[in-house]
Amino acid sequence: MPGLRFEHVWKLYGRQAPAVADLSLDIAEGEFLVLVGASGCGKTTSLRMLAGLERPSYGRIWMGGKDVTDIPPGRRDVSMVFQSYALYPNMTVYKNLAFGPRVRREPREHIRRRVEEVAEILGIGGLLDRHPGELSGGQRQRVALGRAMIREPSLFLMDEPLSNLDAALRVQMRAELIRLHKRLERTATVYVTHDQVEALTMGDRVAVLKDGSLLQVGTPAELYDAPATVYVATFIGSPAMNVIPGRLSIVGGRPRVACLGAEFEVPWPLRPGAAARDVLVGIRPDDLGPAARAPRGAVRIGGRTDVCEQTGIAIYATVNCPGAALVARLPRSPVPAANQPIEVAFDPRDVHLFDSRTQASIADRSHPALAGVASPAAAAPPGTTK
Amino acid sequence: MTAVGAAPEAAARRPAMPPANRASLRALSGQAIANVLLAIFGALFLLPMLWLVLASVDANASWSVEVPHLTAANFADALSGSNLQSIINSIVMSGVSTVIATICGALAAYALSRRRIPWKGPLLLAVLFLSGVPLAILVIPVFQMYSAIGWLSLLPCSLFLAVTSLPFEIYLIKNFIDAVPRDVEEAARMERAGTFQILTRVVGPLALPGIGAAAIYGFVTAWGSFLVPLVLITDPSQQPGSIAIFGFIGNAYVRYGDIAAFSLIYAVPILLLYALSARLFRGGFVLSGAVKG
Repeated sequence: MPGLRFEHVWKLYGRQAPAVADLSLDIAEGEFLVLVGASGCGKTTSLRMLAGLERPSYGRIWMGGKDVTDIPPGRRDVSMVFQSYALYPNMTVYKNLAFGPRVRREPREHIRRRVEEVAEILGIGGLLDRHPGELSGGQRQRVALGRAMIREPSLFLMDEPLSNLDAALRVQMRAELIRLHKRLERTATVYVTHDQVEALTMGDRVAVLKDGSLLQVGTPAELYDAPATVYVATFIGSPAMNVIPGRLSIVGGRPRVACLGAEFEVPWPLRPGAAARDVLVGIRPDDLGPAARAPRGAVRIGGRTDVCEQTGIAIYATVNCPGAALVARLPRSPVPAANQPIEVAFDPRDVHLFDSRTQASIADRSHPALAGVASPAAAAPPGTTK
Repeated sequence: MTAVGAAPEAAARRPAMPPANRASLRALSGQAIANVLLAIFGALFLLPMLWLVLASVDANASWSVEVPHLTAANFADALSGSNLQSIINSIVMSGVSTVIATICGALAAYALSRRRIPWKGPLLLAVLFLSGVPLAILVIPVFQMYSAIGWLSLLPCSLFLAVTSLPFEIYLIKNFIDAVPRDVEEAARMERAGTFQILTRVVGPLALPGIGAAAIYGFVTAWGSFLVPLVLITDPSQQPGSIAIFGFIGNAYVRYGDIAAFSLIYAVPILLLYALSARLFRGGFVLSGAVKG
């Protein structure tokens, strides 16, 4: 049974550019799907359409095999955690949690049991008599979560629930949310964030949106290893991927790329029909290291060191090469001095190639040689990765 | 020599101090003049009050402030028969008017705050200006209308008073509802709460200080209204207190003692409301904790 489906959904506001453009997406039962993108990419609008707070301009939304496009928010079996928490400030924590069941006229005794259960899970049992104004940010977050959990919905929506917490608490809540999601086996979660780290660490699958369009959806590993476009490639992963202009040529039936004064053969298959053209060459900083340690067949590029960022386990150094500045990962010692000549190298197998006009990847992901990298076309069932 | 040398040395060690905060003579005299002026103005306000209290218990009350010949007769008069009835009429008139205006005002304010309404801006501006239209302009046409349909009595008069205080109440309540975050309302909608439940359980309680202030405003204006009931109520037994006071001024002589006693009784509900509103606003806005900004 398909859990949830966006079917060619559009959302337009007046004559502005569409907030969501032709979104088609399947979400399986029990899956944790993350919608990620910069602000204004349509992720929150998509979430609100799932919630029923916004109506799609075109297209349908399906839940559990039923068309819910015109069903109001309360009747969709959906709970939502708001970015602002949206607690009822005039009610105690207990009443906040019990609000939904009371409105739905559930038996009083049942409500009490359920509230205590949820409070127990979230560790807010001692706060039931307080008002939201007397709680810390983390506690409010838990109450908001508890309010969404009370009804055991088939779909959980979370709109940047961690963005108002401080860094340490955010990491802790991240783990708790994952644990919670595992606990509610059949409940799917759609989670909106602008933070790619959050997306990669939490999602069974991650959907990257930009300007209202879905660019790519896949497991975190797929997005990292096989980004479909330059935007996904640079958005996912930290530090961001180096993207440099290059030229693709076919020499004797074999694709060769020239960039930064070096030339190398592409060791993996390109899309059928790939011809000579301008390309963008993507190299992740983690795939670019000191030439001295590089394996045979690595492509070497000379340059001068610039800024170095110490992260503890490694140094990410900006290397000024002729024509581009690259970020490379260097060992934590010795700390390179500024403006020293340095040679960095990468393995051609780790390179990503994009058409410089369409910005789309020109790697042939369906080819068996790249099967290990997985293909974006075949959606992996949830829980198999991670 | 050493003594002279020590002083600058000590001054150098200590950080420089600003001049002491001594009030100059000129500032003091200025303050005295200000205080005297304030006292005079205060007396201008307090003397009538004092007269009111003294005259109400004075058997020979006149317009001047004097030592009273103590009596309770004035209060007995003020609470007798038609006078008591006029107080009750005032309570009914103001109460009905307040309930109508506040409920309608709250509903209208919610709609104007939340719904997408065409021409909302001009509409709100119109509401604001309507609250400034003088009653004297309206009351004669309304009298014509009411007399045509036989409505010249207490309850229809309350209805008209409600309508006159409605624009201001809408504006007042709308400002409070605007401050209630939309997320909170949407959270309630996600829980399958209907519009009525959202209003009574979420938005209403959160905007309560505003609704309370609007209700008090409505009650006080209706309570003090003179012209409207004078014109719109024909039956003397239905006249409210404000007109009863007028009745104490006869052709032959003015019953100062009764006026004072009646005025004091007539002021009691307003004083009670004042105390109530102080409590209402001390609680303040309870919006903190709804959202984290």
